[in-house]
Amino acid sequence: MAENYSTENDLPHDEITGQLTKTTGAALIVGGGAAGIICALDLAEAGYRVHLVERASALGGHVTQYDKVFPYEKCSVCAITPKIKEAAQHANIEVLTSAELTQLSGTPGAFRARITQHPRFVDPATCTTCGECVPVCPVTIADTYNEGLSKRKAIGKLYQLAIPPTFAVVKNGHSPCKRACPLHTSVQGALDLIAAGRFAEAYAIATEANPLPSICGRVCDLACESACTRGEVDEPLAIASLLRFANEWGLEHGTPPSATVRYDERVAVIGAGPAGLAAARELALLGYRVTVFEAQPEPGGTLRYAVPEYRLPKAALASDIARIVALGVEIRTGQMAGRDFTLNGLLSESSGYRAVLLAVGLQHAQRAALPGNQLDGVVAAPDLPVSEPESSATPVAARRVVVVGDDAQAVDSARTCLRLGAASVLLMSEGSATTSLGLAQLRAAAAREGVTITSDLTAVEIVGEDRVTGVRARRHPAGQSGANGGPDSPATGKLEEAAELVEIPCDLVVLPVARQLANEIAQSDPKLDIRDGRIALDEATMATSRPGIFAAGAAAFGQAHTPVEAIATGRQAARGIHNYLRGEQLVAVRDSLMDEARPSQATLDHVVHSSRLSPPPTPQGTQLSWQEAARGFSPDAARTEAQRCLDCAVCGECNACVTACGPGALRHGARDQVLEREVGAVVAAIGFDGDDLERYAELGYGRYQNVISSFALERLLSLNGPTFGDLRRPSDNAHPRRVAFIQPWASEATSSASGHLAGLYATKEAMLAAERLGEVECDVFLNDLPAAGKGLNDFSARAEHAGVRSIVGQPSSVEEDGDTGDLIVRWIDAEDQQHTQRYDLVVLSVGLRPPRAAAALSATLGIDLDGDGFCATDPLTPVRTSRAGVFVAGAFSGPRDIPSTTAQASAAAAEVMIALADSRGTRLPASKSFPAERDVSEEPVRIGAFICRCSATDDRVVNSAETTRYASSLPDVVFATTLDFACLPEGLARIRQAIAEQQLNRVVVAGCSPRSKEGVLQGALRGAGLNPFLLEMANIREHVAWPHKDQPEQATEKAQRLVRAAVMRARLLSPLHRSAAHYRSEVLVLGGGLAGMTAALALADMGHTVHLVEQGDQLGGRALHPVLPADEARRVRQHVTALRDRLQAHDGVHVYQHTQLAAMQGFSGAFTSTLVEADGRRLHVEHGATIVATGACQERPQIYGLGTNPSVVTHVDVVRMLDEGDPSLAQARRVGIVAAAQQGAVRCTDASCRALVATALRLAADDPLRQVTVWLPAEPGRTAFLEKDAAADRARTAGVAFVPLSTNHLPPVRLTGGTVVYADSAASDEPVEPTVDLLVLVTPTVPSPGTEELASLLRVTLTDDGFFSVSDRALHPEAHLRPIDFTREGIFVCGEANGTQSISETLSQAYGAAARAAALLSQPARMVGGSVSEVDQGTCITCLTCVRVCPIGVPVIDRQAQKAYIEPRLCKGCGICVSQCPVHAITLHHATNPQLLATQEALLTR
Amino acid sequence: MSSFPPHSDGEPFEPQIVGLACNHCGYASADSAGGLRRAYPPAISLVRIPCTGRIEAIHLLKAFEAGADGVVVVGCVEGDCLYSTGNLWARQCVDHVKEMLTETGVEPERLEMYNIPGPNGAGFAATVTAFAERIKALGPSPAKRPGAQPQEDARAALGNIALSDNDPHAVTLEEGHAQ
Repeated sequence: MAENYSTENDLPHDEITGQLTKTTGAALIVGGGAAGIICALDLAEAGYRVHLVERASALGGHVTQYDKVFPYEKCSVCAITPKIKEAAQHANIEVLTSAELTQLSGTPGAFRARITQHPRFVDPATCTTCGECVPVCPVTIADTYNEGLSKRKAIGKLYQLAIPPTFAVVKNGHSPCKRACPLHTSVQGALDLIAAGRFAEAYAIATEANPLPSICGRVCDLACESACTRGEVDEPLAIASLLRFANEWGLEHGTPPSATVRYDERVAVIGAGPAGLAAARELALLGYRVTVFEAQPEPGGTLRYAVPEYRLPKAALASDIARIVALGVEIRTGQMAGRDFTLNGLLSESSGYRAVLLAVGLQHAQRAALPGNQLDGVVAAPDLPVSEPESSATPVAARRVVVVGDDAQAVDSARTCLRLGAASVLLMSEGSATTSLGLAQLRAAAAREGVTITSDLTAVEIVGEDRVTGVRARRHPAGQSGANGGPDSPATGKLEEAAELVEIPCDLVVLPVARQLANEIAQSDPKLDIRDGRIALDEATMATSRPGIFAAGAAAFGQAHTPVEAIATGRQAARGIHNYLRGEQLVAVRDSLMDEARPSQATLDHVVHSSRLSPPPTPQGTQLSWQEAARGFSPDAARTEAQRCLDCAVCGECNACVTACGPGALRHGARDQVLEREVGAVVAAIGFDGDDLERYAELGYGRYQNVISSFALERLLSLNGPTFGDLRRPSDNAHPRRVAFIQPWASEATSSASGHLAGLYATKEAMLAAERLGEVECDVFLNDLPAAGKGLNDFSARAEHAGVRSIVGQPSSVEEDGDTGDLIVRWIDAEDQQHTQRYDLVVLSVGLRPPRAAAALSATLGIDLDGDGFCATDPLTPVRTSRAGVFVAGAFSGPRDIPSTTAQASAAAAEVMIALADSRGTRLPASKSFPAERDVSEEPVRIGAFICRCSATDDRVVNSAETTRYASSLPDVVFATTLDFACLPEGLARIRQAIAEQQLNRVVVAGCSPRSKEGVLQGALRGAGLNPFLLEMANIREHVAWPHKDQPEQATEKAQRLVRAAVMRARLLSPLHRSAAHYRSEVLVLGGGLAGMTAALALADMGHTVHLVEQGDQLGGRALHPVLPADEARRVRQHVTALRDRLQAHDGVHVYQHTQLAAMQGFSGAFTSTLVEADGRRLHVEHGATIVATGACQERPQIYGLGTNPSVVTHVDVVRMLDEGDPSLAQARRVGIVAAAQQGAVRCTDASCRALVATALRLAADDPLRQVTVWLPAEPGRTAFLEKDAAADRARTAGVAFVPLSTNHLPPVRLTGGTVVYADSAASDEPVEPTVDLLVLVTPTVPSPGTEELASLLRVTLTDDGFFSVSDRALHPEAHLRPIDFTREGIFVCGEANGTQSISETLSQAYGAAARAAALLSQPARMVGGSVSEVDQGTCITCLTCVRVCPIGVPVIDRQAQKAYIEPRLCKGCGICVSQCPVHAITLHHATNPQLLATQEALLTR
Repeated sequence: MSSFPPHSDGEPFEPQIVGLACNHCGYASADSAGGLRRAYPPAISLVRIPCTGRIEAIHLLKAFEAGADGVVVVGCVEGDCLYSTGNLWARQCVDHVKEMLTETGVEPERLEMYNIPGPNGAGFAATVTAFAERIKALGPSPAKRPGAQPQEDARAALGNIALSDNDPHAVTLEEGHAQ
């Protein structure tokens, strides 16, 4: 796996200083969902370059699809969007969407990643996201983002607020028809447009690649129809007829393309056949003046002189040629090379031709070498007329004709002979096995007309004296070939079978010819390389051996080269000539094609069959006509037939979007790009995928409309979903009244934890549905009742309150009532009772499975997966994979909720920061430098107004000229202009230019939403030396042109109103400056348990100085005696001891034992804390961040005499006793264990259940003779849980007895010596349990003592349970994305201070807290200020209102001034304090009262 | 102060509505409405503010004084405010100003606060369209009557509660050059 680097440049180094580093200061993150984004932001903030690779076209992942984020019910798009935006705009983050990691080489710390980026076909630097492309796109597909509940176009965004906002095209390669056509006509695109009735555009695209569109289906092989995928389903589309329809419609109504001469060089084309004409047109379109020299009297070559009139009407060909001439191409007929001109002459200085194309075809024809071919009555096929001869007496009349040959010309000859009056025509044709569809159709037409076709005869001799009397032929054994006219047909049936040879009597034989390059050409230039009778050339450039001379068509490619192929090579030669004349590779000579697109088998299986429409047949006449037989489609028939197209490639490249796109952002020719990035570490965060529900057909999925997936429900409930959050059932759009939630996969769930999570998830969805619908009954089918867990204490209660009923049982079938669409669900409950219930809607929970890309990614990264297919991790190193330097975050390491996902994301960031500690800040992109800011304070206001035409929707809605005129009439506006695209480079350059030339000091841009483009435009101001806060925008796109598109007059009026408001506000804008604030890099960690030690060591390893404060006498905390099965406990203990040793040896960590925090002043980046040691000594510590890791402890309820009776202990006590080998345990032969809490009831949670089992196991394992009894609460769900639990199973095997209690009251217990102890004095009369020597109480985890005091000291709040937690962010949409951060910036929490959690969760949070602190403190200085609030201390009356109302606790009372003070680095600029201040002492910069009121008044002035 | 043409029965009444919308949700929901091409009356235009918590009574009253027939405040859903409580303060302010309006003889229905999440463009369009219909039914604002001074009236009626003593308009022109 490791690769050796060959040069020093590849070694990790500092990109600024060039010095070598041990590692590369950059990380690659695979997956742009919540985990990837949070991890990227932490790393980028901490000074690492991040390459964020996401498979989809936008960031966000599954979270954006959800209505609410679990378990806090926050609008998920609202929550994640700001983070996505932050990541997308972060200078240190490179976002690579539509991309995949394909290879990782190198060693940890110095990896090299290869990334394949798939094209989005829209250039992000040019797309203004105006969306003009969407309505014109003719391809409508199911919107998979909306779980197929709605439709979208092939071009568009993943979702409305997608970031990056650049549109993307869904294109699955190239359709088979396009690939099969030698010209690569965008067939699917043309059909899409025909289907939409947009014939003019269809004409444009059908003729784009085809200069002679009349040939479609007439002269070509119909490769498109042979390749048509629909042919596998029922019948291929009638593509040729449809393209012909488009062409004929276009001839009448369409606008042919025009050409502009751009270059002086002239090009000569010799030969006006298909190759020459195609080249001439292409060259004219490229900008050259072209002269075509043709020896024949008319242009057209073979198409004119070899294809009969009834197949390709001369008039149709002539109109094609006329369109080529209309481009400025000159055709000189009757000009023969060698006679009228020479190649040398053409290329001489004086002629002006700089290149010559030889497209002369093969003029030298020789009859096929068959004995007797010189007999009278033998004619060569080319000698037959192609149009109706003037005299009706022809040598063919009334003769019996045999035509020899297997190509189109032979078929033509046979049909021509019939028209010339032949008595009978026999076509002796062999080539039936490999016949193209085009040829087969010709033969069928010939057969219909009366030609007898044999495929089993090979002519060997023409028989006759002087004149032909017959053809001797060899008959092939039957079955060797078998096309039209088998041996039984009337024509051949009368033939005598004389051994192998038969003789067919006839009067006339038509023979094929062999063709070669005409001698004149071959001899015209001795330097020309002629091989095998054709011109040799380099197919990459289409150049011959002589510079300046190119070749195409049959002259270069031989006799088998069809006219359509000749057109293709003609176009290629034209491009080759262009590249030659311009001296570089300007255009691709060959059309490069993507892989063949194919709809999925499922799609094909669901196609509703329909038969192919054909143009109406010609009225039957007796006379064989020289006129074309086939008629074209009617417009209606064309549309109907075109609608059968399956859109194999999704995007059919119809170019409608190209035409609609103002700035020209479409890049349909884009291909996969391979990128290489040097990175020190990799984080895999590819999340999860939903289970495939198709396999639960017995529950109606895929069969009944009203059985939907839970993902679909999320989309239906979501405010950005297809119904904008209005839940209606699919069959009849009715609001459902009874909904069932079923987890079809729960019975096969691999772990009880994931089953448990799914149960909660289903409950959450039911709750949301219930809340949204009002009076709805929701039944959730569960395997077991959900128990309380972290943050979910009141969840079930709330669910019940919302009308959600939990049913324990697994439904066996769902059936539909065909009349109503209702669903009948059957299930069996725990007592084996059968139930039936009717529902309006059934929601199947989608099981969370490993991501589909897991296997491929694990192979690429070289990491192990666990048994389920998720990334394998160790609970003690929760974000490390099996490969060093590769980390994991989020649901890829197993299903988890959002807070756990994002905590892990930060943890992975921490691991990267530790691994790459030496290279931090070495790979950051150079920051942009801007000119010095102009001081505008003394200048009179000079406003420049810029009206963006793109935002005005190209004047179709807002009249930009009128708006510009209006803007120039407004006060202080000294300059106003219209810009095509304000946000594109040229627009920005014009703004900068105007600022300089007009000495502008305020800029108003009427364009799109400031929410998307303010940053870009502010950049233009900075580039011109203006403060960015001097910009004001009028949103004439999202707020005017788009919503009011049908009212242009009112829209223009509103645009003017918004411009006026922007100008009035701009007059009052003043420059604002951000200043650098220095952040201390030291961190204070409170608590020396597992969490605190882990966080401290992580930060120290990153290079931060850490002050670790522990109030007890030793480090390690509760993790020294974890309540876990013995083997796990031993590992944890070893881990904790090793951690402690490393920590104590680390220079960067100052450990304070017996010490407490007494006070903390200051703010994020600059805290000063006072520590008090055991002896009362006070220490002052300065630090930038604080981590709270004060842990938790066990409740010691005042029951059973705990604390006074030595025979009653808690489970934590007993584990410590076991660990320490306490001798008193030896006496405990009989042990009883019960879960107990202060309230006197059996307290039961998941955690306590695990503790019960673990303690029992430890006690049983300690002494095999010990009798251990566990009293279980009377709760069926709990019993079920313990029945499934693997550890409980082990305990049972070890002899532990699980005894269910009859009630939830704590039992009286008889202790050794006959004492009966009761939980409390008011004990019941229940029978006394058997005697035990030791009673172990499994008690709940409660906050550490002193938590409340610490919270008030830190000015953070606690949950109802008294734990530190994100609870003070409960009202905050970011709560679940930043589960480690307190609202008060710079303070973080981890471990059990947060509430009960597993060792692995604790470790994730500890690393996460370290990453959050490092992200905050790694930069030496941060830019702060700007639009923040400022207190005028002269006015302040110190009423504390601001202190009270600030949601993040920023305002403080300045000790010296005794007035309020707002630290600019902390203020987020909401303005709540401003509005609440009773004396108006606070100003929010950039949102001052004068500014707001001026805007408002201007909007209301008529 | 701008003057307004008196409302005549011959002309259809097109209410002038101004909205104060927070950057994160209210203004964003209008952006989404545009993105979805959802139509609503063009007479509604928005002032972008960082958070609805920034809103003071004076802003709402001044809007009526400047000729608004209706005023809307659009903020995040309660519980989803980027600044936790800004929209709750705004709600309080709106309720308070509704009382003031009642005192001054302006229908309190002319002022409303809505909570619309950013992605809900359809919700924004539907909500403001319905609001415009309501204002249309109410007719032109009584505050447009010649001589009407809602701010003064409110001050007289409610005794200077939560109203600045400074006339912000007097400051406006000076600050334009002073800053």
